[in-house]
Amino acid sequence: MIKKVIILVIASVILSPAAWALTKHSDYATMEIKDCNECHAANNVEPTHGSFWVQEHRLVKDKLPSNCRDCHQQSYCMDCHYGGGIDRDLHVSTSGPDYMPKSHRTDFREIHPIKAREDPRACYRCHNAKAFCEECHSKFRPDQLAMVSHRRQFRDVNIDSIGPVHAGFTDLNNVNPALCQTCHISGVLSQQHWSSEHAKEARRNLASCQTCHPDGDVCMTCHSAMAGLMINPHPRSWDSIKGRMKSVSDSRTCLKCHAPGTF
Amino acid sequence: MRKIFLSTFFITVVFSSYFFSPAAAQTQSGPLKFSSSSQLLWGDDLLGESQVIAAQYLRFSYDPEGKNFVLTGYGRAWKDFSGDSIRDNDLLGRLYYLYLDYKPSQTFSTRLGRQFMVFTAGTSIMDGARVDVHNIGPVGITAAAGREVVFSLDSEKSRSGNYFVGVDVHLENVRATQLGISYVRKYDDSDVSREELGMNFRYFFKNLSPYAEVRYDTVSEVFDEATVGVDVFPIRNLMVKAEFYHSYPTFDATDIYSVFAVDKYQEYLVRAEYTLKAPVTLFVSYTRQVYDEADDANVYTIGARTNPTKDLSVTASFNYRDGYSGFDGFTYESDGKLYGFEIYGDYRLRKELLVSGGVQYDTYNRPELNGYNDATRYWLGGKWFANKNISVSARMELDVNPNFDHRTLGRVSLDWNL
Repeated sequence: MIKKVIILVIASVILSPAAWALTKHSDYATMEIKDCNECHAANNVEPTHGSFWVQEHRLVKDKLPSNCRDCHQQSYCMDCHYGGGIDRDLHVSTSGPDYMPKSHRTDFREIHPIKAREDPRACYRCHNAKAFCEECHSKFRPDQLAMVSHRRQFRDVNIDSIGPVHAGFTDLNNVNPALCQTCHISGVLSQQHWSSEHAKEARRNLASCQTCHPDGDVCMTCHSAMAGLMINPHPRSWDSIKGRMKSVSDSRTCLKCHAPGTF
Repeated sequence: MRKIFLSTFFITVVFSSYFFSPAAAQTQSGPLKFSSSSQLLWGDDLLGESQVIAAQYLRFSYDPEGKNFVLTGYGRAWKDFSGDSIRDNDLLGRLYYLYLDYKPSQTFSTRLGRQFMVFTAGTSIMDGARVDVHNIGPVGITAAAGREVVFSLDSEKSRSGNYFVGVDVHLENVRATQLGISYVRKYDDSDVSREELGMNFRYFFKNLSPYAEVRYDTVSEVFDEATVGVDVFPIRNLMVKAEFYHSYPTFDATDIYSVFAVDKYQEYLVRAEYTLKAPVTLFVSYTRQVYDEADDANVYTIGARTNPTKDLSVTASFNYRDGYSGFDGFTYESDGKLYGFEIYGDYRLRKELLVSGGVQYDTYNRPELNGYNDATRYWLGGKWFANKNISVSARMELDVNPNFDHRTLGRVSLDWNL
């Protein structure tokens, strides 16, 4: 793959005509978009701010040193990416004082779980999982937010015909933690679908775990090398990357689950 | 720090409002360009509790004639006068950017202060310095370094030792060619949290424009993002886009989630946008989303935009998504649907009055729900331009969905520029 990228780079440099350029978009900064696109269409250039602009501008912004800033101040970017609204048009809705991009349509509170399960990176282009998602999620009751796999294990599923009625433990604030230990020795969940198969759900969108468990403490209940079931969560390529991971983080990530000198 | 910013912000607004009153705003502007937006927002928050928020935005640039520097800033102060169920109700502030551009020559420029940095390899808001060197032959270099700023919902959550360093080497002024290679490193508590390489490319043939964007995470040793596509222009006013997108979620190396196994995600999409001779543009899109273990989803969009007169524009689109939407209670893949439409328009009633409105409707299900739910949003707004520099706008929104029979959001805004 790296070879392909290098070949692509070299080929594009060789193909580049060494003529100096022509168009200064800043000269047209005050034009209306439809007038911009007349020129784009005439020259076989993708329409700017077209019908799929929300999805497509990610690539347009790559062109340095200018492109976006030929026509826009930084506030144009920040108002969508960081909630501002000095120039927001009437089409844009709000959440608290923040303005939301047009991708957040109808009742985004209800729809965003579906959207978040698409490209796992999409949310994090604008939002920091630890600083943004968790802050809002923490304001809701856990059983309102938890995925079905969580809920069935804890609230909706009887372990067996004589097992405890978990719905009775919904209000965690009123449960004696020692009571949980009678079934969940060392804090480990019993062998149900959640504990054996949740890996699929977590692998598919690990970032969604982070939105409620920002520090991953709940993961370490089973995945720590020092306690619990000690289940290895690492990817198959771990042996080749662990040295680098260890050195750049100064071992601090490793030490969350491993005793010093054991990894 | 926040109190200093808020105090400075409000003093500036009050000071500016006194000296640059709306009457003054009609006068010819000097080196100082100044935009203000005073807003009042109200409605129900996501928990159904009513909220009233006052917000004041201020943006300025100072560009003295004959000098080679420009000072630019943008910030917001706001106060939520209701409870603190979701958002803080203190007087809060956010400094989006405040920087000094200094350009001593045509080939060298620098930007100092808080700014938004965008490289293919990574982005950041940082308090630091950016340096641009132009025209080293056909190449330009942009380098940046500084303290990384992390915004939470209402405040900043930057930690000590959060830094951002990046460099981008790109072609400049080369006809029909875009090529940039970048490197970004981020620090968390002085340890490396991210290290990425990025590459972007586009070439313009006569009727064809291939492009690519690639990001490589050097810590996890994976291509965490890759896009390869081509824009084709078979006839005038028709663009067809074909694109492949690959995504592999990676996390900060200082984060426990960085050690977990994850799945990749990929997309294949085809889009077309066609402008008819009449003032109508048609657009259509199909995306196949591919998840690991053969799960997938199909997403369709079709729509049209028209400007029947100079003063009227209307856009309508329909979206349909069918496929993987999560797991059921036993972690079996669960298909779901999300489909709906949107229609909105703008009409300039008079030179000084713009009216806009729209409707959005979505039907959806997902594993957590029994059956389908509907969500509808209606909105209507207007903007009155008192003169070239002053405008007043108002917008009302009504949301009807499973959580709210009748949720209203409203805002009014006084905007003026100097």
